Amino acid sequence: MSELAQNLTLPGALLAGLSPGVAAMLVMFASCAAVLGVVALNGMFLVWWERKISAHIQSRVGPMTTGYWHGWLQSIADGVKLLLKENIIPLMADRWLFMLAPLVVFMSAFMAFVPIPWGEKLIVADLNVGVLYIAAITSLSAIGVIMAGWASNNKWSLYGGMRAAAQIVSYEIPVGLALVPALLASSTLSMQGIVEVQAGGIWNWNIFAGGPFTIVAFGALFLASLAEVNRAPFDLPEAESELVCGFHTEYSGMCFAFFFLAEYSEMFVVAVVASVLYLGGWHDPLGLGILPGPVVLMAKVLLLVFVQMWFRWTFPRLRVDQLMYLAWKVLTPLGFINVFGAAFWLILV
Amino acid sequence: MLVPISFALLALLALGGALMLLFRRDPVDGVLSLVVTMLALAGIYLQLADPVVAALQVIVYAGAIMVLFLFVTMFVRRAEERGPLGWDRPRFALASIVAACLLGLLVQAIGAFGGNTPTHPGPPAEIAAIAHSLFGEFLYPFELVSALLLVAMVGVVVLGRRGEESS
Repeated sequence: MSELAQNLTLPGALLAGLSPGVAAMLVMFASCAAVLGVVALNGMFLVWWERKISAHIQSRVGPMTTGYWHGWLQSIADGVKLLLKENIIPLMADRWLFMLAPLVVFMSAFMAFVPIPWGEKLIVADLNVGVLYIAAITSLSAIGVIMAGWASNNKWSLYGGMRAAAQIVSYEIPVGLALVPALLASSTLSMQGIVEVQAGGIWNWNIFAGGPFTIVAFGALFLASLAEVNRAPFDLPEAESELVCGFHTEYSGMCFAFFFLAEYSEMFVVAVVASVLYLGGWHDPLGLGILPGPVVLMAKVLLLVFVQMWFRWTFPRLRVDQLMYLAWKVLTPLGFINVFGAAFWLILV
Repeated sequence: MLVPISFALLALLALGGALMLLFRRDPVDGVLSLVVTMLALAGIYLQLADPVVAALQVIVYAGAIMVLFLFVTMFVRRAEERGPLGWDRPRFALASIVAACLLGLLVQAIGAFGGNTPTHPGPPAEIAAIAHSLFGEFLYPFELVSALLLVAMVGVVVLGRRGEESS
């Protein structure tokens, strides 16, 4: 967590008079608060944005009244409502697991924000295994989802939880294979290091580093990570038409809000990973370096998130067998081809 | 100063998870306590300055293998199997012998370190160094393990097919 403090001069001046231990603790808390702020703002914005996008795709207008301008206060109003609602725990549910599950899911999404490079010197912690860390932390959400499904003591919840677990574990393999070509091209696992390799314009981005193989790998990463975060057309764990609401059927109030926030945070995180690994992170396409890093990164991430939402409101949901067919017989072999192809391309071309 | 405290906390967490695994009645609770143990172990690896192994521990053990365990316990379990295992005499005797052997092995392994068990962070491990030792020095055992896993996988496919034909 120390990099942020070293790179920002203002906290540095404030912390100069304190003992190193206390200063480190304060920096840690400040970093956590900053990450939490980003997560909350991002969740509120994306919920409103998705409602507007879905509405326009379906020839509606979506929320219009709250806040007088295109319903921009709708998410805040919903958030206040969820805070004030009673948190219902079913009588036969496992109380502890039931309360813990949304926190586990939210924690896994929240902790994945730590190694995101927002700019040249703007990063909470540049871990030297950044990509591996994100893969590890996000895979923990499967445990939380199963806990939710199991603790609810409801057959629809259990079905949803099991589907989510099978899906997340299966799609981890294509996601991992789709990450490898970018790592080969940049020969580091640090998120900041991967961005630095891609400096100087769109032709230096990793998506073009391995010829056709990295382009296909980027597409495979985008598809497989949609399934990782349980988004349509891979939203079988909460398939409304079959499972009521899947693993979060029994949740209400803030516990439900945590699941909701986690979903939008995970969408954001997978878009960040794709942008950092293949689309140059905070470098702009022309290599000019005029715009601030966070603006460039946000533009790329929001574009990818927009495509995620566009997919959701365009494609029908897959069946379970189609989902597994796609993971094991299409994306996994394709991933192996991409890894070997990109490796040969990088050595020979 | 902080290192021994966090090591003690992580070790307590790991032991607590392991004890919960032994004494909880519900098998699903048991698997979830094992997740706690795995995560605490990942924390200890992280403290020993090996973030690569810590991340792999979380991905492979706390993620994939625990999900597999949960699946198996949920599918295999029947209502009457909900309680703890019965402590009939032959089973107890067998369990005691196995536990005693394991304890002996562990004591010997810990003794082999001669009190030099590393609890303090060394220099952080580089992924390139791990790759060199895995695909250089330990290439032969690594490939042997891969072959073993492949044989196991082929075996599972064969067994699955056999069931399909008879039904």
